[in-house]
Amino acid sequence: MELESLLKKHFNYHSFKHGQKEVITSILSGSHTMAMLPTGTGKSLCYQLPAYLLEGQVLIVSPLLSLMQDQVEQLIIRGEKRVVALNSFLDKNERTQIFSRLDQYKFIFISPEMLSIDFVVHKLKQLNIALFVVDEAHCISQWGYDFRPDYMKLGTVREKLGNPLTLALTATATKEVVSDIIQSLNLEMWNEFIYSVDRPNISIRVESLESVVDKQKKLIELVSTLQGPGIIYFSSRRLAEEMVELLRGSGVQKVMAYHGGLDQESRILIQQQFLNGQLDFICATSAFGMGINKENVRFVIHYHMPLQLESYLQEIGRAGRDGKESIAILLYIAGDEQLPYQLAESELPNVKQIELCFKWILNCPDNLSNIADFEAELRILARLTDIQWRMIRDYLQSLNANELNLTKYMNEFKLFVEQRLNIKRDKINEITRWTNSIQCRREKILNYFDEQKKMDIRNCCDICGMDMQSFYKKENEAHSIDFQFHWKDYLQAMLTK
Amino acid sequence: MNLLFIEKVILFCLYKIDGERTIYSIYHLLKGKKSSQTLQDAHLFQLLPYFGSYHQITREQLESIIKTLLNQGHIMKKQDSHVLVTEKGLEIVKPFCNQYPILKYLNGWTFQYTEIFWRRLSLLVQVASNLQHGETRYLPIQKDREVQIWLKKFLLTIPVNRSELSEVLLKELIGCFENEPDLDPSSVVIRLTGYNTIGLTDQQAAGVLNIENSFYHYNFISLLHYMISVISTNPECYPILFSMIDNFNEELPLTHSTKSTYNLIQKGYSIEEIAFMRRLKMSTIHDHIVELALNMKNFSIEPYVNENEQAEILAAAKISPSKQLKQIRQYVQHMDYFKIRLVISKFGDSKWS
Repeated sequence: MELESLLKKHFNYHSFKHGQKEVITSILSGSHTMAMLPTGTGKSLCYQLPAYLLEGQVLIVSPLLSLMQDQVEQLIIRGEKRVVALNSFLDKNERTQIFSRLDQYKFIFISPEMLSIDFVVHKLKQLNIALFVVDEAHCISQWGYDFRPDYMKLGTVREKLGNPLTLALTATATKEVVSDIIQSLNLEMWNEFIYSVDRPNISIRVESLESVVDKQKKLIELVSTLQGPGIIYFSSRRLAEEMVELLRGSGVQKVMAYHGGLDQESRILIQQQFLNGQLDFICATSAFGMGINKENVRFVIHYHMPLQLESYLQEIGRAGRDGKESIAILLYIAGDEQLPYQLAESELPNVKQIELCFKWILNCPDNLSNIADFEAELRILARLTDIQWRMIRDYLQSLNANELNLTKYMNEFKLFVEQRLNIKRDKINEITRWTNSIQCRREKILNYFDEQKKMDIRNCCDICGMDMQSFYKKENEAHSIDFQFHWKDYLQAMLTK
Repeated sequence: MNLLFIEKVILFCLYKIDGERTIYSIYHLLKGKKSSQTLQDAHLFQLLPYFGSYHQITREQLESIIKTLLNQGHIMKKQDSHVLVTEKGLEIVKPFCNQYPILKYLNGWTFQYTEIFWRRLSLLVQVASNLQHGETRYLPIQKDREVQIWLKKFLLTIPVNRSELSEVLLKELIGCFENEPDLDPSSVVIRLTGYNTIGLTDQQAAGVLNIENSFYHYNFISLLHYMISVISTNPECYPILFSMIDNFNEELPLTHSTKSTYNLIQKGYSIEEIAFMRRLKMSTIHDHIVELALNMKNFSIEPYVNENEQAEILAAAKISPSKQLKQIRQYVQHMDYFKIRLVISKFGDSKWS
C-alpha cells in the first residue's frame, strides 16, 4: 500500500509533514536512521507508521515518564490497543501479566532504567524487535543539555538485542551531539536526516526591560493585546500563580496556572480546557506542553529565561503548529541569568553533599549493593533534592563492588559533576549572549546548530525588524456576558443529543 | 472579621473536643488518619462526619488557623496544644450547623470512598456523553487505572442498552438531585466533563460560584455524600447509579493490620496468642479490637469484657464529668483502660452522654 493511504487509514492525515516521508522510507529500506526534526513536526509518526508495515514489535526508549504516558494515550485514543509502557510505575502483578504476553503488543515503550535489568533484556530478546527507537536521542550525549547517564548504556543494550534496525530521534542537537549519538549506539552505516531547527512562521522577539514592575506591566500589556491562544512560561510555580492573579485583576479572564504542584485531575482539566478553547492563556512551568498537540497557539512568552537555547527552541516550538504566523517573546531584565545559574547549581549535588554521602558509605560499604533502600536516610543526611539523589544513586549503582576504591570514585564523581556544571554554565552563557546580541536572533540560533540562515523572513525578529501589528488582536472580542450556571441545562446538553 | 469556612469547621471541632485532646487530634481527624486513637476520638466527640473531610490540610495550615483563632479571641489556651472555645467563639459555633444545611449530609467516616465515587461518576458521565455524541477520540478525564478498568467492566454489566445509557443516567441524576427540593447540585455538576465540554477544576468552580475555596470543598463532598446516601437507600430508583456503589460495602473501613488481627480472632485465637504470632505488642492488638468494636455493628466485645462489667463502665461514664478515659476510670478503678475503651467504643456516646 502506498504510504499516503496508510497515513490516511491509520492517522487520518492527508499528507506528510516536512521530513516524515523521507525518514519513514529510509527505515522501510532497512537502514539505520538518525533523524532530527524540529519540534512540532510530528516525530512520533516516523516510527508509528512503519510499525504497520514491519513484522514484529517496535521498542521505543523514552526518557520521561510523563512523555511516555502521553504517547501511549495518544495511540490508544487513535484506536491502537496493542500498546504498553514498561516503567517503574507498574506494580508486580501488572508487570508479570505484561511480561507473560509481551509478544502481543505492537508498541512497547520502555524507560532506560528498565533496560538495565537483566530479566527485562532477557524477555525482550525473545521478541522479534522490528525497530529500536531512541526518542530524545540527545540525552545520550555528554554534550547535550539533558544528558542522562542511563542513556549511555543503550549501545550495549542494542547489541544484546542483536543489533535491531534503529531509529534515533531528536528535535534539537548540535553537530557534536549528533555524532555522539551515532557513536554511542554503535551504528556503522546509517542514513542521516537533519532538518533545519528553524520554524519560519514563528517571529522571535526579546523585550529588554528595566525592572520587575516593568516586566509585569509588559506581560499584562502583551497578554491583553496579543492574539491568543498563548502560553507564558515561568521557572517558578509561585510566580506563575501570582501572575495569573495579576492578569485576572487586569481583566484577562480565561487564564489558568499549570504546574507540577497541582493535583492530577486539575492538570488534566486545565490542559483539556486549553485544547478545547475554554481557556485562552496558560501560565505554566516547563511541565506544560509536552505531548500537547494544540495547533493554533499564537504566542509563547518567556517570563524567565530558559537554561539553554535547546529548551527555548522546544518551548517556542509549541506555537504555530498550524503553520500560521505566530510570535515568541522573551522578557529580559539585565541580570536575569542569575536565576538559571542558581537553578543549574541546585540540580547538581555540591562537593559537601558528595563527601557526606561517600563518608557514609565508607562507614558501611555493605549498603552499597542496595543503596536505593537508604534513600530516606541519605537524603536527610546530605539534604539532597530528588534530582540530586537520583544522580548520586545512579553513579553509586554503576560502581564495581569488587574493587572498591571509594576515594578514587569520589574524586571521579566530583569531576563528573564539575564537568556537568561547566556544560550547563556554558549553555546559560550562550543563551545570555543570544539575548544581548544585536545580530539576527534567528541567524544566531541557526549558527548555534551549525546551520546558515538561507532566506529572508517577514517579521523575522526584533533585530531585523518586525511589525507587531500582525500579532495583535484584530478587534476587541465582545466581552463575555456574566456566566450563569444552570445545572440542569448543563447536564441535559451533555447527555442528550 | 469573617472566618474562612475551614476555620469555622476547626472551631466547631475544637468546641466538640473541649480541650480534652490536643489540636493535632483535629489534624488527624480532618486528614482521615485510620488509627484507633483518631477513630475512637471521632466517635467519642461526635465528629465522625468530619473524618477525612479535609485531607489536603497540613500541620502548618492547622497551626496557622489556630493562631488566627487565638488572635481573634475565638479560642484561648488551656495548656500546651490544648485550647478552649471562648464566649466569642461560641457565637460562631452555636449557629454553625443550622447555618449551613448542606452539612447535614456530610458523613466522612461512612463514606470513605467519596474519592472513588467521584472518579467513577465523572468518568462515567464523560464516557456516556461522548457515546451519545458518537465521539470515540477523547482523553479520559480520570487516569487512575483502577477506575478505568472498573468502567470497562461496568459498561459490560449495566442493566440498560448502551444506546440508552446517557438518557437513563440523565434521568437518574436529575431524579437524585431533585429528591431534595431545596438542593443546589451546581458544585458537583459544574465539575463534570462531557462531549466538547471540559468540567471545571475545584478552584475554578469556587470562583464561578463565587464562594470561598474551603466552603466550596465542603459543599462538594457533602453533595457527593448526599448522592451516595440517596442512591443506597433507594437502589430501585437508581439502577445505574446504584451499580456504581454496589461493591462499596463489601470493604470494611479497617486498617490493614486490624484486618489481619480480625482474621485471627475469627479463628479463635486469644489476644496473647495473636500478639505473639504477629510479633506485636499486646497494646497494639488492643487498639485493633477497639477499632473493630467501633466499626462492626455485630462485633461482640463479650469475650473481653462481660456484661456486668459493661454495665458498670457505662454507669461510670454517665457520672464522669469528662470524657477522658482517666476521668472515667476514677469511678471504676478495678477496670483496665482496654475494657473502658472497648465499652465506650461499642456504645459510642449514645447510651451515656
